[in-house]
Amino acid sequence: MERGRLILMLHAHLPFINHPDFPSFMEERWLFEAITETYIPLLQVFRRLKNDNVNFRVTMSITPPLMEMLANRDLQKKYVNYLGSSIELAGSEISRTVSEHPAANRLAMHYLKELQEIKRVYEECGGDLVGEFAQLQESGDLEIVTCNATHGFLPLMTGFPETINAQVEIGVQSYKRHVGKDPRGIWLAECGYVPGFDSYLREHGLSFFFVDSHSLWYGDPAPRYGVYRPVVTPENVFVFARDPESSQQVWSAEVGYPGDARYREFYRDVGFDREEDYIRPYIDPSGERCNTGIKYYKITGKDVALNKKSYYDVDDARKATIEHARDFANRKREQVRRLSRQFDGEEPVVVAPFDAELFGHWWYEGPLFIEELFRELNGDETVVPSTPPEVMGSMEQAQVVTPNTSTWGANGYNEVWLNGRNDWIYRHLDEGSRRMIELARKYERTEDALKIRALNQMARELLLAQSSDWAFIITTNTTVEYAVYRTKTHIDRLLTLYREIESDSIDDDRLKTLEWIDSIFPHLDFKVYAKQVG
Amino acid sequence: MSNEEILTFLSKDPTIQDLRRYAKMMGINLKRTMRKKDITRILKKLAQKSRQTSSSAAAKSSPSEILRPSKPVDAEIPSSYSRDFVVIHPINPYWVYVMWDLSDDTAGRVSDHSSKLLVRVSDITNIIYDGKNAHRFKEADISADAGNWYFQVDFPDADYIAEIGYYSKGDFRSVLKSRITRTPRNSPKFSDHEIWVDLKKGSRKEYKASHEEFVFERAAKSSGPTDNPSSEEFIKTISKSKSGR
Repeated sequence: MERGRLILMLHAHLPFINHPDFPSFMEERWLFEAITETYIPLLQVFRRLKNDNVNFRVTMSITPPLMEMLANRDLQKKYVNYLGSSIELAGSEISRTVSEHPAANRLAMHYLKELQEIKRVYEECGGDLVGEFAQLQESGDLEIVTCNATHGFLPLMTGFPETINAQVEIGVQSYKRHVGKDPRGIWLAECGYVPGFDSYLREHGLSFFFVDSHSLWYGDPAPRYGVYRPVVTPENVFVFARDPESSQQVWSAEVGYPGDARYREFYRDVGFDREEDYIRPYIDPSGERCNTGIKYYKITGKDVALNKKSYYDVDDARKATIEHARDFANRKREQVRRLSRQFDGEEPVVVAPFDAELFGHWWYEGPLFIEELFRELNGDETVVPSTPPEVMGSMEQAQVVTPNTSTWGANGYNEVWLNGRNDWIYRHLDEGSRRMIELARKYERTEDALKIRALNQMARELLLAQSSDWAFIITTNTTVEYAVYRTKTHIDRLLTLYREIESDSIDDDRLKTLEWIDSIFPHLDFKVYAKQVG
Repeated sequence: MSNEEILTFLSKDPTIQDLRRYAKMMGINLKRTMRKKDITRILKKLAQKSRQTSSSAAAKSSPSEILRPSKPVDAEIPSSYSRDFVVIHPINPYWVYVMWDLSDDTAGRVSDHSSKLLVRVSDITNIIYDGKNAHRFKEADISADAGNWYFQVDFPDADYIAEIGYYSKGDFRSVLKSRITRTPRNSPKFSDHEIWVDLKKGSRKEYKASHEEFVFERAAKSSGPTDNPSSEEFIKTISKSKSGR
């Protein structure tokens, strides 16, 4: 019988952005938009599937900074305000669009209803979204994996094994604190892998991780079944490699689903289209315009200018989503059949990893696509949705392969995070690691409570500076100033704390402020950096 | 928003709509039933609060910094930490990145011997490097300041080491050495035998490699040897290409 497995892996991540001393802060909207457009819609999809007894399996990484932000009271309050304001805007839009166009008016009503549902879900769980996802993990439908602490880019930390170990160990601890149990797997930030990383994972009880395709294609040796069977590393950690076909079907600019003319156009938003006086309360207080989530137009056509787009039609888009979900399911069936014939009875395993925020935030219909995909595959005899632990449990034997150094960035290696624009960062990250390890060893046994707090905060500043997001943003040239300043500010805070600790002049007020704003990992213990590793 | 700014706004007798917008901008949650005087009272309270914060902690920093300590700034961070090191990282199969710094002591000592400092990257694949037996090397002139360099190298899956040094009587004198790094492979490495783990028993078995090797349907993209990762042109290309994210 020709049968194979499909692992849908959604990587949910945002860098830690917390400005509790600002009534609102532009970059905090990234989280709010993701909650409204991706995280809650995914939760709604999972619940509907469960209610309808549809068999589904999703693997998700919810990274430590994201879990920390979702649980942060200040951010929760701000999100409720943000959502209230979105609902208010949708209400105003209903009256505005009456005289504009019936299609826009219908959409405004659609958005109001959608936002009220989002609000209901958020209020019902008291803002505890991580808890809601964790519940779905209990029933076996969802597998939540962790990520290294602040999504630091590990391939450029190889000079400091203590720092890599801390990134992994803190990632495991943070998961445990939020989810209440140990993680079984990990998503390494940017899929960054260098031979030898498997020993850190094994050390912390992690039994599987993900890599990009060429990590196995060019692994040592090239595996018998390519990327379509998990392998184990020399340290016995399972490796799941990305299927390039699935990525291509969703991402490709030419043939990818999200580019369909019937889907919603991301770049036309009332945040940019409405006159200033009207829209001001719903954009950044500085007056800088931004997305509000209320969008009336469809892609219409690849070459159609933004101001020439036609109105979006929810029902048409829904039809497109169902077509695409069916098409994807058919392609997976064909793929499994094709692979099965070459596999002497072994089940092909197709791993399809994506940024979670693609679904809903960038591709509005994405969550519905996931829902329709599982409805289509419900009870399927050829393609069985699975989680990595299920696949591992079904295996009799596994080939031992050392994955190749690789990432899932453009071109497959380190150039997105190390190039002429962002290379200056690493001198400072290395120095931060050196100083952190130095002081952690020096004061490992200190009982001075103030010093311990300062050392813990120094570790937080290092971890926050290490987020791969800053180097990524600098390369992609988006919010560069914020990324550059965040890096410099965390390094500066780290260096100041170092001086204060060494000269016994810790400024308690200033430390309290840092503990309040850079509040990630409240239970962090700096001694993780004192360990002898490597 | 400072205390003065809030009070100035209130002194202009704003309309109820303006008050609502202003309050929202400040992140205040208003009830629908609130009237003009209610919102004014809340804003006055807020003004008072921001005065308290600024006066209580204004001793060392400017008020705006105290009010908004989380704002990321263009902090001045050192360009050098005056520490001896040279590190090498692979960027892709054909490029490595080298970064270094010298302590004042070392910089002084070197300048006694030579006025010219170099960074050298050597291919030392499969040998025990003794400083002279590298398969090949490349060099660049540098100054004693903290710096970095991008080297195009000849081989993927090869070992490289970086050194800072100078020439004395025709010989390269190494002052600082990096750790060894290996460039990533960009082609499959087929082997005659395979190792498999029996997952139920935990034992390992060796097999002869299957003759029908799995056919790769698509090769991974990778930068060619001539794409310099430090060039603006290159960065523009990769920043546009979509990958996992």
